[in-house]
Amino acid sequence: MTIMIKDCDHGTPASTSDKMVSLEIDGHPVTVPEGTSIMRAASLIGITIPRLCATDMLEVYGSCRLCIVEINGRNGTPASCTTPVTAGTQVVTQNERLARIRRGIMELYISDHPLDCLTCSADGNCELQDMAGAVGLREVRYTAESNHLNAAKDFSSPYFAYDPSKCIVCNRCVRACQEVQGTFALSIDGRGFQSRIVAGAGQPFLESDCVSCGACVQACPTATLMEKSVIEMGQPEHAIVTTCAYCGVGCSLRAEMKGDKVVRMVPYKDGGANEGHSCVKGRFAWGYANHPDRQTKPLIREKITDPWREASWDEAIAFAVQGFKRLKETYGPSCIGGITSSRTTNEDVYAVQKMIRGAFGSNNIDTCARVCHSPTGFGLNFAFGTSAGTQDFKSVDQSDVFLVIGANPTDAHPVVGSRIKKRVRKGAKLIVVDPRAIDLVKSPHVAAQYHLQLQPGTNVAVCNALAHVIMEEKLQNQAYIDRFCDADDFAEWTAFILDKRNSPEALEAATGVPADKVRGAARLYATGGNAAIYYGLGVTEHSQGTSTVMAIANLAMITGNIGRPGVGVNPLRGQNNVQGSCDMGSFPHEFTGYRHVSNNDVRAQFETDWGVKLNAEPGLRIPNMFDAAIDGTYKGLFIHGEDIAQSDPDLPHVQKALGSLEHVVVLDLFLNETSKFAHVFLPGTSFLEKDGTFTNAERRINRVRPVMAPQNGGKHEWQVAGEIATGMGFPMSWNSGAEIMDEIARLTPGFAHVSFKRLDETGSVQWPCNAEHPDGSPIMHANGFASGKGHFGLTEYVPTDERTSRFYPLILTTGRILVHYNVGTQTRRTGNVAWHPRDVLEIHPFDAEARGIKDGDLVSVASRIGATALSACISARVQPGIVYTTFHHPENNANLITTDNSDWATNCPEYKVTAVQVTLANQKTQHAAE
Amino acid sequence: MKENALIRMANQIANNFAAYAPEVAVSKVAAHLGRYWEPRMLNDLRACLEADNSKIVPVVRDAIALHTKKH
Repeated sequence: MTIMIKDCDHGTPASTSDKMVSLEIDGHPVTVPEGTSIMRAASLIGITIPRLCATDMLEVYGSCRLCIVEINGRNGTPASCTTPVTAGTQVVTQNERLARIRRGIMELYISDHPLDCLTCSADGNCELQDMAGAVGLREVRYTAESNHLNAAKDFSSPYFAYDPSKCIVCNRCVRACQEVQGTFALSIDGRGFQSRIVAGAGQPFLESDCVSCGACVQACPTATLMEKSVIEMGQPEHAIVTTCAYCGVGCSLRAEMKGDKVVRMVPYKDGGANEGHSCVKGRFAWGYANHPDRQTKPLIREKITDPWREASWDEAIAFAVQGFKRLKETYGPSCIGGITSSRTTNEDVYAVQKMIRGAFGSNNIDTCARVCHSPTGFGLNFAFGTSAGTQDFKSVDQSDVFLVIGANPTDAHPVVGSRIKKRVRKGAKLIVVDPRAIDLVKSPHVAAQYHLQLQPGTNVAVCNALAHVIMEEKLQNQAYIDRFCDADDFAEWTAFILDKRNSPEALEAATGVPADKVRGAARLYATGGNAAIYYGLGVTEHSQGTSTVMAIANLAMITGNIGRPGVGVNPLRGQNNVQGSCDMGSFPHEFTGYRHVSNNDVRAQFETDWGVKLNAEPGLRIPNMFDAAIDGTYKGLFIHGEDIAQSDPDLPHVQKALGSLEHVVVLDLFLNETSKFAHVFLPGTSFLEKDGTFTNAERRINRVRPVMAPQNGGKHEWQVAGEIATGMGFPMSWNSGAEIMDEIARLTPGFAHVSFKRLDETGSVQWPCNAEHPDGSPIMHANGFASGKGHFGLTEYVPTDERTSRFYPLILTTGRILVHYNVGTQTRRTGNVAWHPRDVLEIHPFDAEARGIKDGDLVSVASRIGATALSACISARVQPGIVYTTFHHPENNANLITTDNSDWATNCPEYKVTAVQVTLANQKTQHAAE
Repeated sequence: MKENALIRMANQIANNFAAYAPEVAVSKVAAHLGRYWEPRMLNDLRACLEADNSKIVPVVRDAIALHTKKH
């Protein structure tokens, strides 16, 4: 979908009022919602009023005075941006008086602005230039003796340049940083001609607290803040709307292009998930798609100790097929399988799982969601009957209380983080449950009412304690429970949760959270109005991940915080298509739409459509595949877009398993740690080359549109799966991604009305979208649960097996930072490394001092599994006894030390709790040195 | 498959159903194993049970018996 290169900007935000107001502007009648500005009302009927400080991405400000109008019956020339419409008024936007005043204002602006339009990077897309033309400015009479035309430029950011000489002090960047991003990193320093935008405390952008979201660059009307890619390449000439390839927010982006080259990414204002905002990754970190490391030709080899040999696509596919066929014929279908990726489209995932089930003949298909949000699918399906979050992101705007548990939205889901902060600045209350003091606990103009700083591994205990207080103090919404929840379940659960062992006082020793804080937080959650729970991998990646998800669902059900805007249970999915990859039937026990493989009716439907007999028994999960490989009963693996030799826990075990396999085929963008164990490497496509869909954390199905041809010789990833399946005797082909979605819709009740045509018409849709929900489902469970009644699970707190000892006295927990994404395959190949070139170990000052560790020292982090070396970062964000790191760089690989403990229900690894010892080191580990 | 890993996983499932009445827990563990465990894992767990059931908690033992009876 190619769209206008310039986004339509109505100058001020839309009003949400239901009441309509009619007036006349320049003699034209117009009817708009009450509260709409005159500027916006005019724009809606095609009348453009000159402006500089106004943009509809920001609240009205009224500083430039260029948008003045005359209103009958009123004196003066009010600013149309700050003046709301009034019924029956007549507005004049153009006459000689207004033109004269505007010319005078523009003259003053231009008196302190370089006249280098022809060589300026904003030439052709400069609002100042446009306004000079619009008001008919022909001369500047003022030759300022004092100006800022020679102010020093700041090129420190990898992505944009700051040229103060071009700044007109409209404040749009400052307001974007405050209102949209909520970081408050920018301000205006000085007065008059000395006025200039400063980042942080007057530092270069790179060194300041700017998070490089780019909202300021987008808001800038001149070339003051400008993408370096635009400076280098010039202005784009067409734009295509697509979807970001990073986190589960799934931001819609305008890929602004020059031919088949991306000039810049700009968040799409009409994107349902992000509504015009994005983060540093989505907006700027797309350069990996054209990185020279990209492997664009197929490679094959007989043994993993052989060097790679380039092959044609035909030869590589035949080689891959031959290996799987041999294993299947020799050992049977249960010895081969595959892994799908949440970084690929629904269509790619669907094709791969169909290949495994149809051509390989086994259900040994799993997804990388196994290692992140599989407990979400299990837990929410148990409680609500659907494996998905209940809300849309817009719901944040109507929340009164946020309970954020095991999630760090400002780093891992930044657009949602900004949205939550914006709501908190408007008065919503915040409870943070996290072992670490994340930014939401305290940041500019945001402070959590409660920070329950629990010990890692005790989420279930805290959630049970919260529920205990709510029930003990009779704060539950009994009417909701009686109407929507299973009565027997509730009675059984009530007896369980009211037991003294679930009281905050009884659990205090285990959780480390003072009981009175838990009680206060429980009261706030239950009585504070619309209460919403947002959670992430800090919930799921535990031995009791599923129990915590169930306990969270219990909290929402007992308080009736389900089924309307502002409430709900909201899993923040790790990767962009985690929801989609789960929806698409890539779990070993489920077909698309979460229907068990043992269901005869469902299986018969697929067998008829696909023309093949399917297996009725569940297949192996990823960790089970590793065990079976070492055991010798599992021989071949197709790995799609996942670097399991870096991302999965207990890497020595993973490496042993991969080394035991006879045939490994990797389909990916880059040669990586996993491909070291592969016999075939098939080059994949980046999101800029894909034609398909992603489904984000709010179940929103968004189009991913190709902006350039596949860089791998013209082969879509679903075509690769199709050709392997066909080679194995199971014909599987489509002409387009749209055809695959039609097949998905045909076989999946929740997707029945989804098609590319529909998505191109409406922008996006949230499943279920079918005859019952023809417009999709932004909010789920409004009138009860899919399974009939809501179910309460008895969520007994079972401490993890991973314990500290005198040899391993600290608990290591892991997470992500803003500028990197998972194992860094993409972001390490972008300018984002400027902020985070290596992983570091956060350690509390007390623990550091006891070990003689200073900030920046190289330290060894050893667990019962292995050891790695990291630089120490002394920080009070972590509690004494807890250390924290990220896992973005292979040379510091944290997964060398994480254990093979996993969630009881889903085998999701327990990344978040590893007992370790930290000591000063004098050299890197052998792994890092290699 | 690795005996210790299977036994640990099975016992862990049982421990998480500890709040239920014993017969309910047995039924839930049996259902879980049948729904999510690949046949070779179940077979290997049965073999572990036959070889030495001392490391396997009673709820799992009964759950395997129940699952075997139903299938």
